[in-house]
Amino acid sequence: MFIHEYQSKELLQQYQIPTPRGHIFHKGDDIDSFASQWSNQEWVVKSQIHAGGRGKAGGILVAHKAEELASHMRQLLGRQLVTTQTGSDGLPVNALLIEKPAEIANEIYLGVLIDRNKKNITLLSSSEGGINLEEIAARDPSKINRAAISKATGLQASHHQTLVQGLNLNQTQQTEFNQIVNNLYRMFCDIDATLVEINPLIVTRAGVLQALDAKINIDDNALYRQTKVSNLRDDSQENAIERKARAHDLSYVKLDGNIGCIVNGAGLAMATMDLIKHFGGEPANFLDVGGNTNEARVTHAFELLLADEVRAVFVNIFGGIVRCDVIAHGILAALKNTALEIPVVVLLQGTNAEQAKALLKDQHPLLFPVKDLSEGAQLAISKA
Amino acid sequence: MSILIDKHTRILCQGLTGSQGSFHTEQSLAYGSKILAGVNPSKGGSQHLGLPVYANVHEACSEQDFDATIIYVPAAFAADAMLEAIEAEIGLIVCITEGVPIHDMITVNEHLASSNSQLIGPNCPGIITPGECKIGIMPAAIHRPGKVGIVSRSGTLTYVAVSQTEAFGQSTCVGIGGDPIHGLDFIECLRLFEQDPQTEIIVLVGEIGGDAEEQAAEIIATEISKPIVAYITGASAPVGKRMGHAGAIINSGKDTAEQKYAALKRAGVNTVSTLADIGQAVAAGLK
Repeated sequence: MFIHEYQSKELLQQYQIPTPRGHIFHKGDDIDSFASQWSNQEWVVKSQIHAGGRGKAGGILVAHKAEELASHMRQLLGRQLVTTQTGSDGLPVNALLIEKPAEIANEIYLGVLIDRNKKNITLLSSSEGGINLEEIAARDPSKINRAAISKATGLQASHHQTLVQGLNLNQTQQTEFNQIVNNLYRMFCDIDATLVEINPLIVTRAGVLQALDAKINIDDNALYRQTKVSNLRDDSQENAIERKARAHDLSYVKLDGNIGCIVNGAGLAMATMDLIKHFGGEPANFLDVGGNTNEARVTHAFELLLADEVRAVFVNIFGGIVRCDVIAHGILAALKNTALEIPVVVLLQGTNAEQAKALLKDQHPLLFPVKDLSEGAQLAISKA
Repeated sequence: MSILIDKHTRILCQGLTGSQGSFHTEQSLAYGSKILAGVNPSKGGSQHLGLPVYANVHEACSEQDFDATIIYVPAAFAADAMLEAIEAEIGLIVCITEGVPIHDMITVNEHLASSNSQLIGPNCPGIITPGECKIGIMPAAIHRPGKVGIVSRSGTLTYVAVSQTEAFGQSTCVGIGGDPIHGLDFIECLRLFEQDPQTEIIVLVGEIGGDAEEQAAEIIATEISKPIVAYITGASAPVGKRMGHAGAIINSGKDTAEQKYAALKRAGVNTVSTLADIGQAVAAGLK
């Protein structure tokens, strides 16, 4: 789960990690009364969306004069902000973080992540803050300090020594930095985070360390025990169909093409997309009905899938625990309930596939049963 | 022969009494798997499906010997179940449970590293040696004994690979699971298949995210003499989007299907670009 920058900073503050002074402004609040209260100084107006690249996309503006604050806020609020990370639709700006401009003497990178290959928690720091970690690694990997932490023993003095290397901090700042590292690691574990980045962690001209930007991702699998954090979810940043799918226990992924895919299993979902692309088609989305599905779920899957601009549907199920006859009943129910007007190509293999084929035979003029994967993908493409 | 499990494997079931545990245990027993007992903290001393139920793994192990355990308990308790099995020194732990928090898996792996236990999963279909032993939720009927060893990160794609290699049968099929942090990986399975006389060819089904396939490629060139057919799913996945599996996400642009294919090709693996080509490639590899 992603959370906003302002929510990340509130979490950091709870863990005694200093951030710039700021105010959060939500869509619907009164811009003029807010701006008149704060407009007698410079402010940075930051769009709050669940994606990076906001600065380059014009989502962060600096108000130099009193009248600029309100006009910048009007310009950003309610807009769909498109950045390199959002996709072509962009994400809605429903909140702004308004902060005092920082007086930056030095920018540092500090991050905590889960290293899936080494199966541990790793802390990273670099003197090259302000640009993303991949860029730092591409320019000069020796500028990245890495400290792998054992959950059993936690942070050690040696980790601090590793992380502080090359950051050009004086004695007092080093102590502050070590404290920030301790608190950040504690927070990472407390909130079941999968990624926390403070980038940049700045040294102000007054010589103080501050988290100027922060990004926190939280493990979806742990939300059941993170009630406080899961309340930070912002549905507006999610695709409406993805949200509905989650409510029905279906996994939905939106893509840009015109062929809808109903599959069981994440691997088969990707393989089906790959196959469609291989034969020159474009998948619109996929809906994974999972391993433990029933008739109603298949019907829901059809309803959700047809909400996108789909011109053909490819149902690709390999029945294991899932029985193909159950899927077939679901398809028939969906045909009845959704006034389907587009072709549905169906490949059912595995458990009870024969029964399923008999059930679907000659049931609907838009239903096209196929025998194998390649045939199914190609037929779906030609029908789309 | 086979890898990891055979007809002699003695199995414990953690979460036997739940609906998943009950259903799949019945199926596995019907297949001939030697599931000897179950565990449920609040039902110790009772019987379920004709098997004794113990209150915990320690108690079960003091009464009987087990080579393997299968875990069906809910995600919130799965890490505890794995840790209990590690502590009881059960050799093979198979965790089917989906949705285990990643922080829990880091803890489990720290304990695993200093033990002699091996873990398959979590979030996996389990492992089967056709005709001998099934520890998992895969549909038994599609398998038959033979010479293809299959290792896969995806459950359903394991079944597809099985059905495509129907003509040759399978030695053992291992679903290592779709979570970013899991137990056994491609490398360990490839090494085991290399040593197994029954396995003549290996099918590796990978996916985007992480670098397990690249790591496998590194050892294939020097350690694996048997032919390998590899398919990587997710070639058309957009960067940064989680594709259903928690582990299936392109994070850096380095964990794409393209990179993985390139690494495997360099190691001499026969890579196929669609799922539909696995069967033919295996047939060609066995000639």
